Amino acid sequence: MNGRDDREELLSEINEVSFVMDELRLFLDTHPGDAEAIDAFAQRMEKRTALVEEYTDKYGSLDAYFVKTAYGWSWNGAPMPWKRRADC
Amino acid sequence: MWGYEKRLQYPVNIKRPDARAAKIIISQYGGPDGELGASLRYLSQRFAMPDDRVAGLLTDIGTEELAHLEIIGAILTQLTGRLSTDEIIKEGFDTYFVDHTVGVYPQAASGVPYTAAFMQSKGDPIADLNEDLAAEQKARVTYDNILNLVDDPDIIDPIRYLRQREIVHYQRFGEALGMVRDKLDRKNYYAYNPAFRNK
Repeated sequence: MNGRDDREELLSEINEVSFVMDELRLFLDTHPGDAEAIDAFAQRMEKRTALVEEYTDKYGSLDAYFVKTAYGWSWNGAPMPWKRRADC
Repeated sequence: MWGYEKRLQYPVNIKRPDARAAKIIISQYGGPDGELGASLRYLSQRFAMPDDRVAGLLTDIGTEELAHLEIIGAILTQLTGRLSTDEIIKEGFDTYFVDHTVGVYPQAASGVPYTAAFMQSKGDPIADLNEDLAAEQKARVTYDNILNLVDDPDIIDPIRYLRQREIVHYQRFGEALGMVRDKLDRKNYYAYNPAFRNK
């Protein structure tokens, strides 16, 4: 697997787990007492934290509050997310 | 305040440019039932929402709509980014091109620029949540109509995703309306504005 494929795979895993959390967040807004949904949210959060940490270490931050500054300003180093795969 | 994550909520990767599809899909960027109007509607209405749970829901859905606006922008830019002048003329994109080149501008498919007149913020939780329910249905219908008009699977996939989100938001707004109704004064039979009382 080359670097770009690995980056895309990791990003796609982050997107998937984030979506589950987006969905659970709205559900919990109107069902704040649902223990099963809270548990599911907490599980996804743990998984997401690990994935985002791995992504940030390898490919730079998705979030400007967590930019790694050791090698200069990397925030605008990665392609913008609306770029076609073929143009990256 | 808001943060930004450098990723799309749902991926977009369109291989074939298609000005005709872009002319239609732009309505979900700045049209009457588009994502920009949806986001501004919920993010504006929440200030008059006395129930914090419902104000929170409006914040979360209004935020998600901004992510959807970005997805539509990604679709538009990928559909139009590599068009030749011939294709622009042939597919009738020239009337847009003359004003915006291939930049993304919030307008309806008819050419009407985005206007806040597309939405309302009434300061009445019952009125606003009923508007929100209708807004989600109207956006869902627009996506259904888009799906009837395009056949490229690369376009269909993210449009289907956005359509599904309208259905979920409709469900959540229905529950929110129930939460507001449950807290109404029992003498308020006709559900007059619970956020503002005339003396």
